[in-house]
Amino acid sequence: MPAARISSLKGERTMENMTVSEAAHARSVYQTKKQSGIVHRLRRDLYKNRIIYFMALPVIAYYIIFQYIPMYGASIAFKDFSPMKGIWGSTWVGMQHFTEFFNDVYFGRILTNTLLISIYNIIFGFPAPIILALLLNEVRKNDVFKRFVQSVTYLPHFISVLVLCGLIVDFTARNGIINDLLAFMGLERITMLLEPGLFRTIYVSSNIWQEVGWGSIIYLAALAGIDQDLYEAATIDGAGRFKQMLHVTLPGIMPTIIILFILRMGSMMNVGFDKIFLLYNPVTYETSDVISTYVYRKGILEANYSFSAAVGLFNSVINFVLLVATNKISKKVNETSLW
Amino acid sequence: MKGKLGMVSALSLSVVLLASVLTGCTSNATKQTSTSEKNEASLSSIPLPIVNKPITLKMFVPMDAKVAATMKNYNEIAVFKELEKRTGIHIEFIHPASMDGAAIKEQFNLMVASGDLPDLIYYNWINDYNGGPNKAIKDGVILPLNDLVDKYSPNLKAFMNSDPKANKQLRTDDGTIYVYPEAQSPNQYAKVNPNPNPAFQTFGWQIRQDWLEKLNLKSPETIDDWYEVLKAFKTKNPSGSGKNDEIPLAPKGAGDLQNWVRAWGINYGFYHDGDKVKYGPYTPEYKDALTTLAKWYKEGLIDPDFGITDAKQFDTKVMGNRAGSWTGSTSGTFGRFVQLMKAKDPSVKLSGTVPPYVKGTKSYNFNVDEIKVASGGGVAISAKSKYAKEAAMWLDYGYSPEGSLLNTFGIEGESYKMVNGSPQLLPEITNNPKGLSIDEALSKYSRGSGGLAFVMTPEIWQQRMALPEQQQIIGLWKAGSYDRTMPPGVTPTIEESTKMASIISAVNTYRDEIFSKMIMGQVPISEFDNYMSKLKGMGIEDAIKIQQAAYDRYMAR
Repeated sequence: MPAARISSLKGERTMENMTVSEAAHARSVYQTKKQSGIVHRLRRDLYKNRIIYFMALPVIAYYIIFQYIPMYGASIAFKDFSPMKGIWGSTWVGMQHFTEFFNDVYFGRILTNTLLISIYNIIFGFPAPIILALLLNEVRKNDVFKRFVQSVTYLPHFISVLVLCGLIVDFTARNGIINDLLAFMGLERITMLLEPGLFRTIYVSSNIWQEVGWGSIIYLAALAGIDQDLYEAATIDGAGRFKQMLHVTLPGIMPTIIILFILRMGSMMNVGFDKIFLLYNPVTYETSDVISTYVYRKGILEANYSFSAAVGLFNSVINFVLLVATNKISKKVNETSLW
Repeated sequence: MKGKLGMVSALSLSVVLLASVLTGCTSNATKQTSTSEKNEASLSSIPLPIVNKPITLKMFVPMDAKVAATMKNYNEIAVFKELEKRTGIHIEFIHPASMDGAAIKEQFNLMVASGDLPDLIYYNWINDYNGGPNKAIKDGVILPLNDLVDKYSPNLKAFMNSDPKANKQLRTDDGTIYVYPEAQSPNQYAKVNPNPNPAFQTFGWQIRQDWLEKLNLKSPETIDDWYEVLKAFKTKNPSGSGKNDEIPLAPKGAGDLQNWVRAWGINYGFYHDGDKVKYGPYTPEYKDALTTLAKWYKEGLIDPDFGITDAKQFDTKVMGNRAGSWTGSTSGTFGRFVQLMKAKDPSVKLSGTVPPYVKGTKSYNFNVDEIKVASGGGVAISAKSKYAKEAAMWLDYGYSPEGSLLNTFGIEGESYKMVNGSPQLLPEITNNPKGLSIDEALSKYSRGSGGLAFVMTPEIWQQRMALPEQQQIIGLWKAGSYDRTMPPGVTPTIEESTKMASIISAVNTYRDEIFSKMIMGQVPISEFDNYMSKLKGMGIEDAIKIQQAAYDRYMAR
């Protein structure tokens, strides 16, 4: 069978009713077939589907121009980059910037902060939309209420980070709403953004507040795909609502959860720069200074382009390793994976 | 998900992308100008118009807040329209999006990384360019100006020749000239101002005089006096609000509070004690300063939000009748508050105090006593400019008598008139019908409030600081000794400068962090020795050595 037909067939099926593991299977079949007489097949395929390939061109060009060509610039991480000499003209210095970074007094701190903020974000932030989706799923009769909650929870997603941080600054200020509440309960007022111990809490909880509704949409979609017959069968077997959720609903959306989790792991080291940048100050550096803010200060403010490129590259490598590792583990444990 | 990928790499890569797209040839434009003009003799004055066919030069310059109050671009200022008429050169201004120091650096560095440089760049080449002015020249960002000044800038040359101190401040150790500076001429100043010591005092301590009077207190001098005063502000409700909501000491951000260490005879950075260069936050006196400030903080004398107070919040606190004392500039902070608060409530009285000191020691003032040229700042000519010669002439015009007058006072008949041969600001400026402050109104016509390259016409100083309160605080601030201030223009070598930048960047991050934390009590003062050894580990002593060597070379110039 020509490869193109398989791929188009695959496309149709994934849309409708194919589970992710089936898709992976189909892909591996496609790959083994591809290996025989590849040049010949490719030529025939190119000719046969030339219109489709033509239509794909802009996208491919986009990736080449904006994603791959700039990668050559990452080479400045190994150079002593001077803007006027250009990337080629600058002299090679090998691993100097990496050594410098690993020996930096702040290396341990920013790495720990980056990891901790990410881990907290995953531990608390990742399950939140799932829980919300499951809860909403249990609301079966009152459709108006369900939609209302959905709208209210996903609206904050559309607030720009800048505005959001403005809100956070106001809410956490000494005369802000949270402190009013604390004072009402007889506690002392504190300027929360000047407390290193509170930074992660503020960061993670505001993240959850902003993203929980939006994140739950994808799970609600997955929930809609669960076969209603399964619930009926479970009821007959005597499962209550909680048991149904545990044994029908959760396994039903498990593949979605896993895929999203793998993707999430891949960007684990990328803590949102803008939000931290807008909320941190020297007093909270201890808990808030992360790799991206450090790169900004070093690279953009102090013009150490090469050094910050090296730090950025280091960050990307860790991300990549995490992504591959999570994918591998998940493939072993769940037989669900990205590739 | 996708959007979150690669924020860090996006940052570094965007720099790279810009660079890769825009790395043009590091062409011979500079050589061309210098060779083709070799035969021309040096100019003795700037011919007007400078060019017969109009040309456009681009200039990168951060916008002054006083201009931004009413305008969006420097081309709206009358002086640049007039200059264009006279010289035939149009300037296209590139302003960073914000006046914030970090934003200016950010835009400058991105601009340099892109390789797309404007003809003229206003920047602080000593403090803000990694490696200093000589590195900027070596990197091919800006031109060494010695030849250009020699040939095409007769007025700047004359200014430098007439004033050996200015000549010294304007050059690096090897004699290189790198900018057209914002300059003051003390000799001329002395001729028109009654005060023989031209103290360009622009920064110092400010206090609610009416509160002091209400509580029957005299203006505080020593740190002990200050404690009494702040305590009284805190407990005796001088604002009369009935709520005890006064903030006795209201700094605009941590940076403002850092100035207080000066009371212990140290600077929050480098200074010199005799011939010895020291780093304030690495001295035993610093511990005393932190101990006292921490005590004040604990007793509620310092605004607990000082670490995150921005300009707007600061204004609200002062204007809202809650702040008792603060530090700031003569016009931007003090003059503005005097005008605004008096308009609201005529009984409000503001004043200054002498720079505070510890009883039994000397009062130190870390302002520069006489600025000949602004420290390291000024307009450089980009190494990529096709019009280096024209730029040199255009800039030099600001150092000629007519150019200086135009740049400082604006347009005759519109912003000033001549009275007995000396320029006087018109009521349009001094008593603006729209309620603008003098500096804001003046900014519509000239750059007389500072921030560009020309020599100031000295009469402006007295007239800008027209409020009697301003004259008074300038007198008070001058009471401090200038002995310990680093002179402007101390330049480490390229290697020293690069090394120092990396040490100081780590040190300053830690210093700022610990400063606020010790004052807020998050880190106990007993940790001070630990802090000192950590600074040592970061290489602070090497940085002091570098600064010492640079200072010695400067003094030997």
